[in-house]
Amino acid sequence: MDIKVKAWKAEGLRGAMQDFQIDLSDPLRPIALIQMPTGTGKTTTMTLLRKAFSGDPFSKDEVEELRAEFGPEEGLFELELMLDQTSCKIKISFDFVNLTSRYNTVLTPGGNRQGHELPRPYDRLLDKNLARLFVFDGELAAELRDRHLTSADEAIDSLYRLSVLSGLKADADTVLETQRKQNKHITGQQSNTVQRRKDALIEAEDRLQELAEERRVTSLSETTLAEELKTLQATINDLAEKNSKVDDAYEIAKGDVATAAARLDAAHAQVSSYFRRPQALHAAIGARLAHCYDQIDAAKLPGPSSKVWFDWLAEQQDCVCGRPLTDQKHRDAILENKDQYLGDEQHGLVNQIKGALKQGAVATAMANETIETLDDATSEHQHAKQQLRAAQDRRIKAAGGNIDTLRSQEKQIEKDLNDAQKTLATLDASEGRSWKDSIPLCQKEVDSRKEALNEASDTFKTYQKVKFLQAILDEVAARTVKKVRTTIQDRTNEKLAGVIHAERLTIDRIDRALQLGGTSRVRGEVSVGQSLAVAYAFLTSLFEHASYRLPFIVDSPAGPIDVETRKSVSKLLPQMFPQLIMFVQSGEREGFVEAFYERNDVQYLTCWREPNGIRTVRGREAFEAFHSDDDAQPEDDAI
Amino acid sequence: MTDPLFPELIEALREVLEEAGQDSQFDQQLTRLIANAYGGNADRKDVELLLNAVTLDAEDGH
Repeated sequence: MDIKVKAWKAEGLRGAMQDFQIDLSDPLRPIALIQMPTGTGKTTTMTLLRKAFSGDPFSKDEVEELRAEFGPEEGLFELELMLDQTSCKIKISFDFVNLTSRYNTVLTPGGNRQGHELPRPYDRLLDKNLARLFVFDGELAAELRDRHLTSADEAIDSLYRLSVLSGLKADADTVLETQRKQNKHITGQQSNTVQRRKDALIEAEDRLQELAEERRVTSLSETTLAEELKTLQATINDLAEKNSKVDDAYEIAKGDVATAAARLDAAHAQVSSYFRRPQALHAAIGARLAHCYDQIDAAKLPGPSSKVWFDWLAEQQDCVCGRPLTDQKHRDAILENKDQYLGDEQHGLVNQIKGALKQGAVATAMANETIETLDDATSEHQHAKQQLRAAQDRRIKAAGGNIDTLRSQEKQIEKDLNDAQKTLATLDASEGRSWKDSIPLCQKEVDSRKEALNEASDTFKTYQKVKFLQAILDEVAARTVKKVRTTIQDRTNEKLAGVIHAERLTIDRIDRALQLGGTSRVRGEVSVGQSLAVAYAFLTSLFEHASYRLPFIVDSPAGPIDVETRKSVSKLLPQMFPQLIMFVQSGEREGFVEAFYERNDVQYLTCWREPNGIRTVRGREAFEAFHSDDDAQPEDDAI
Repeated sequence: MTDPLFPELIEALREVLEEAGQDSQFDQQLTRLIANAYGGNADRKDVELLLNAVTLDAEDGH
């Protein structure tokens, strides 16, 4: 699947967009550098391109924003594309009187279609989220790294179109619903039952959705609060450290906290080891399991239940019941039926269980002692932290700092964080809770009501098949995301190593957002230029192996990037995209634009504003000579 | 047109199908359905056919 931009034009829109057209149809020059000074409608053009690709509707406010003051009552934006061998024009007509817009699609071959009607499979591919990636939205660079947002995951979902699998799940639900409706042999009474159960299911599904939303919001809040607390505590630590006066109590308290933390870790590790020996956790559990051992032993298991035992029996003179085994057919019958009993593996397993049960009885006393040690270590650690806290406060006060305000903020954040954690624990708990307040129980209730509905509507078997298929699709999607994340992370890191030379910057993991590692993680921040370079490395890695080829359209691609990194970016981008359209400013020449002068597959366009629209000039000479603050016009032929 | 399925999806699908223990007809049908869906050529009827090919445990005597 190959998509290329051939041209676009705007008519009757606000500002410089009254009359503006760009032709990029030269197949030998897939890289376009378009120099447009501020105020010539770059942002508007990017927005219109994104909308034209995705068919996203315009709100009244958006149409109003495009209306030219004292301008015509109608406006037009037209994007011309090549979708493999099909020529496609997407026209957006604006009615500035009623503040409406309408799409129209012209395909050759294919004819004129009302609406944003791209042929398959392009219609499924080009959506709003994907358009943000390849008609690159500068804000996306920061969003990709924002842990409160899910832009990195959404980018992967968009490009690898995992929604296709969700679509199949929805289709399976529709098949079930259709079958339910078509079951004509259902009696009137059954029909009432079906309706009642359907209502009950909707009630449970709605509640589950509410609980899931509450969990999502609380989880985000928990992350934010934890980060705020970490930052605040780092600030307090910094303030305490900055006070350079010698303070023995402070240094001792710091040492005590470190020692107590080490003891606590050791006690934790020891207690954790007892979780593998449940008898040790509590005397009651130990007693129950010992009783279990006695029962197994009394039954002489696994002995009489194993195949080996029947082999032994078949060779004896007498059976265990006392009768003599004189007839060969009795011996044969014993050997023929021995396979119904435990094989070697199962026999060994039962013996292992017996052995473990027997050994466990001695562990309880040891575990009690270790748990006491853990309690002591926890108290000691708490005490040491309190001492350090007091010492910090004294130091900050002595230096004139307002520690009381900081501690009050800390207390409030800790309280809010604690509340959020309690809410999450409550939502995830099952024991002693009603299905209306617990996510796992509510999920069970939904499943059980679904089953009840399907039983009543005689579609139980189809329901089970749908559930099975949906579970398979969910698992495929989950594993695919995991694998894609790993692939993209590796590729992004390879590119980052080649793009940013000044310091080591890596993606540690992709989980909703890009989690940065390397030296910048210590600082906790990256520059705007680095952020953009990370976004390029990530996006090019995403697009690199996608099964379709898209153009990359970007405004000020190198603006905030340092000169050294610009050179690497100027090499990276053309390698990764079959068509590259870049709106640049004269300030981006150094290191970035000048790197393209060596290539022969670049077209240069220079645009500036005139009273009736935008004038566009082609050619490198005019491009190089132009400065946005120049009044002089280039000499080349205007298009 | 290039294969609409990408390596990570193909590998995940293969793993899941191996574990699902369905017959080869189901495996082929699901693979084809996902490929068609990615190519924009699958509809509800295909999903219905695939559901018919599902063998539940109770049906094969497990």
